[in-house]
Amino acid sequence: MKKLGAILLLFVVAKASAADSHLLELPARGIFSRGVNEWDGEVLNITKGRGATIGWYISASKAEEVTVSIEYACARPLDQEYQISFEGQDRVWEVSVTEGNDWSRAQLGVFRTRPGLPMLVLLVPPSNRKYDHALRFRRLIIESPTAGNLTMAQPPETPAIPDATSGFGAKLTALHPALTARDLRGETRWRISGMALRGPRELLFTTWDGDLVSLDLDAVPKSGTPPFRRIAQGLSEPMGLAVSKGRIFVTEKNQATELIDADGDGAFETYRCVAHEWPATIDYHEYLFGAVIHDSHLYFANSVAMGIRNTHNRQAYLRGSVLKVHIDTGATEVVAGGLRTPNGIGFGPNGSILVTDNQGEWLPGNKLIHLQPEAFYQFRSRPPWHPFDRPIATPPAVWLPQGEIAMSPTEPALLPTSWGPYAGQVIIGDATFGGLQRVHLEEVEGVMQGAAFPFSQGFRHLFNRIVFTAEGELYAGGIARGGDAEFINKVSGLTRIQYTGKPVFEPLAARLRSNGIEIEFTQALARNAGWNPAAYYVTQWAYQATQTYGGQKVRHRRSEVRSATVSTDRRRVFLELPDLIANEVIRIRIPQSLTSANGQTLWTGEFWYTVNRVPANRPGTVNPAPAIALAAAEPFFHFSGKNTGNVMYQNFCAACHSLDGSKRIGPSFRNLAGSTRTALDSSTGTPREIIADAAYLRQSIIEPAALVVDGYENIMPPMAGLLSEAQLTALTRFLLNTQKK
Amino acid sequence: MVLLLSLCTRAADGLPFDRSAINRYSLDGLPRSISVRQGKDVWLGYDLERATLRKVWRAPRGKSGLTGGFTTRSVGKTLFEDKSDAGWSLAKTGQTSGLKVRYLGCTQRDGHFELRWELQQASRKFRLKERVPTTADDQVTVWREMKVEGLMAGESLQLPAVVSAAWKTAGGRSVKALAGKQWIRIIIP
Repeated sequence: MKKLGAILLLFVVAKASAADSHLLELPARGIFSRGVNEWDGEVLNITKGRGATIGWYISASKAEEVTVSIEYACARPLDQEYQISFEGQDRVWEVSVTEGNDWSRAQLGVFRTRPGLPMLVLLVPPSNRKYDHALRFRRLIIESPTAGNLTMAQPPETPAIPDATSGFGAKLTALHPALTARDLRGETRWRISGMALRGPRELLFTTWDGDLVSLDLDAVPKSGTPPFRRIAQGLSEPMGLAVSKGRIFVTEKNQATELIDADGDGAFETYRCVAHEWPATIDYHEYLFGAVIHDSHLYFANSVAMGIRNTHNRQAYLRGSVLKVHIDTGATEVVAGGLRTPNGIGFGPNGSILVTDNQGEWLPGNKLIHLQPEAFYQFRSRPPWHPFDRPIATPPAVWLPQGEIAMSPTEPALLPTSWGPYAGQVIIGDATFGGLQRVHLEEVEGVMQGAAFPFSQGFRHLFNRIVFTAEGELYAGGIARGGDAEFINKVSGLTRIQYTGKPVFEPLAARLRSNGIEIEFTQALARNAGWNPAAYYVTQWAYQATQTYGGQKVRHRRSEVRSATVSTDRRRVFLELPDLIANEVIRIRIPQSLTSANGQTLWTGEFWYTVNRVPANRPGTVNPAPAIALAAAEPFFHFSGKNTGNVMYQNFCAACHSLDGSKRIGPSFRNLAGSTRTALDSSTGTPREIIADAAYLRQSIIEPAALVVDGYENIMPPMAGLLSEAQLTALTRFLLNTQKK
Repeated sequence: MVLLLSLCTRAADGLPFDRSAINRYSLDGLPRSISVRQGKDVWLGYDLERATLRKVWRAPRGKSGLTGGFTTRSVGKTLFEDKSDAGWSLAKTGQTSGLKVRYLGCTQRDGHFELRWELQQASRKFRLKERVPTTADDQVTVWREMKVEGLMAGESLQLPAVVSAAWKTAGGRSVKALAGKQWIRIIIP
C-alpha cells in the first residue's frame, strides 16, 4: 500500500464556487448513511469508527485523473488512519491535527475516473475506535482537469426482496435429496481441525485439542461409535493436515510440523519443525489454516490477529499470506497476501489451488480465491505494508455474499467423478452458515470466475474440513472453540456423506456470455417453460471493501432481463442481460413454479455469479419465445415483505442467536422482546438495566458493542453496513413479533 | 454431560507429548516456546526463536506450573530467568560473531526431551542440541545437557552470558562455551 503523506494545507478554505465546474463538492450532508453519526448543522462529528458510512455516488463523462481533498478540523491527534476509496482504489489518510476547530484542507489522493455507471467515493474512519473528541468533517472536494466532467449521482434504489422460502431466497433447511448422511460422532465430540487420508481407507484428523486421530474406514460399524484411535497428541492448535507418500504434515499455531515415527513403534516421537519463517504473536486469531501439498511444497495460509487489530489495528509482518514451504528444506516463500481468515485451502479444477476467506474488515463478502502468485486480496492494517499490497486488490474467483450463501467458508474440495452431474465442481463447508455450498467455475479470458449455488443443509453439525475417498465417500468434520458443551455438540464432529445418484432438478452451472448468462439445469425443462424473462429476478452489485467491518454493496440494483432463450434440448436457458459489467456479482432467482420435463420441482432456485471478466466474443443465442411460453397466469415473484425479517434473521442472526432458548454464541431471542436485561453500557463502562424494545434491538443490530448483555462477550460485528434501512426495519419487526407468538 | 466427561477424561495412552509434561503452547508472551516438566514440579521454558532457556520455575505444591490455554503463563517460584536478548555466538581466533537461529524440532524418547536448532554464521551451519531429562535428579534442583555438532577446529559456541553465570557443571565449574562432540551436563545446584 502506498501511503500518502498527509499534506496539510494551512489556509482558510474558501467555499468552492458552484460556478467553478472544475470542482465537485461532496458535502457531509450529502452522504448516504446507515451508521451512527452525530451532526452539528452541516458538520458531521465523527467519533465512532464502526458503523459510519460516509459515501457518495458521482458520475464522470470521461476518464481522467482527479484530486480529492478533504475539509476538516481535528484538534487532537488520532491514533489510526482513515481510508479513502474511490471506485475501489484505496488510499490511507494520516490525519494531521488542526488549530482548534479551524477548518483545514488536506489532499487525500489522486484517482482515476471512468465514464458510465456511478462511482462510489467513500471515506472510512478507523475501525473499532470511539474518540472522546470528534473529527469534524464538512466536505470532500474533487478537482478535475476537465470542467464539468464530474457530477453528483443518486445511489441506485436497493432492489425489493421477493418473498422467500428454503432454497429460494432463504437458506436451505434440509438435506439434498441425492445425499445420505451418517453422524459418526458416537459419544465423543471430536473438534476436527485438519483432515487427510493416509492410504485409501485410513482417515486421519487433527483436533482443536491437539490430537491426531486415526480411523480405519473399513472398521466403521453399521451403528455405534467407530473405532477412533488417537495416535499423537500435544499439537498446538493445528488447523491443517496433509499426507504425502505416508509423511504427515500439520500446520500448527505458529509452525509447519512433520510428525515422525522413526522407530516405527506407532508413536510419533519427533515433531520436526519444517518452517516458521514468519512473525507471530500470541494473538488468539493467528492460525495457520489448511494444508495441501503440491510439487513437494506445503501450501497454507496464515490468518491475521484480531485482538491487537481491535485495539491498535496492527499486524505482525506478513500476516494474511498464503505461504509455500518445501517439505524437506523448509524453504519458505510468500505466495500471496491480503487475506483475513483464510480457513480453507484445497485443489480446484486443472490443478489450481483455491483458498476461502471470511467476510469482515476489508472483506465485504466471503471469498473463494483462485490463488495467484503475488496477488493481494485487500486485507491490510498499518505499516509495514505487505510486500504485495497495492491500491486495487485482486478479486476472488467467486464472491460468497455474507448471510446469503456463506458466513464462514471453510475447506473447498473438488467433487469426484462419482458425483454424477456435479463432478468437477467445488463444494465448500461453512463454520457458521452450515451445510455445503457448491461452486461451478469457468475460465473467462484467462481469469477464473463462476457461480455459487446452495447445495445442502440438514446435517447434524457444521463442516470445517472435508475429504473424499477414492470411492467418492465424503467425510466432513466440524470444529468448535471454547468449552461450552452444548455449543460443541451443535457444531463439532464427523459425518459421512454419500451421493446416491438420485436425479434432482436444480440449476447445475452458469456460464457467462458477452450479452448475458447461460444457466444449465440438471434436467430438461418442461415444454414451453423457462422462456419468460419475468421468471428470473436478477439483481447485481459491486463490492467496496472497508477497514470497518462489513464493507459495502455498490450500485445494488435490479437488472433488466431482456429475453430468455431455452436451448433445443431444454437443459439450458440463456438470459440476455444488457447491463453486464465486470467486477460485479449477479444474483439470479428462479421461481419454484419452474418444473422439469418429468414433472420434478426445483430443489433450489438461486445462485450468485461473480463477473470478473465479460467475454468479448462469446455471445449467447437469442431466439424469439413461443407465444404460449410467455403467458403467465400469475406473477412469478411476490413482494409481500412478510418474509424479509425471517430471511434476515436466518441469514444474519441464526448462527449465533436461537429463537427457542437453546444456547449459541449470543443470547437467545426467546422471550427477549419487552424483557428487562442487564447490559454493559460501553459509554459508561458500567452495567445497567435495559428494556429490550424496538429501539434497543435496532441499536444492538447497528452498534452491538454499545450494550453487551451480561454474561456474553462483545464479539458481534455491527450490521449497519450490511442491512438496508428496509431490511433493518423488517428484522427488528420480526424479532419483536416472534416473541409475541 | 456425556460430552463434557469425554472431553475431560480422555485417558492418557502413553503417547509422547503429553501436555501435562510437554507444553507446546506459548509461554509468558513468547509465541514460539516449549515448556518441559522435569520430575514432578520443575518446569523449563524455552524460547525457540533464540534457542535459549527462558525460564525455570517450580510449580506450587500440588498444582500445575502452567495456566491458561494457548496463552500459557508460568505459575510458581522462579529458579532461573533470562530476560535478556543475548544469544549464542560463534568464537574463532579471538573473534565472536552473532548467529542466525532456526528451530528444527523436538523429540521425546528414552526419558528425555530433546530440542534441536540450526545455527548459522554466513555460510557456516551447525547444530545445537539440548536434552532435558524428564526425571528429576535428587541431588540437584534442575539439570540439562547440551552439545553442538558441526564445529570446525578452533571454533566454539559461546553461551549467552546469563546462562553461563547461573549454570555450572556437576563439579561447580562455569561453562562459557561448547566445543567438541560430547554432551555437556549443566545444573543449578
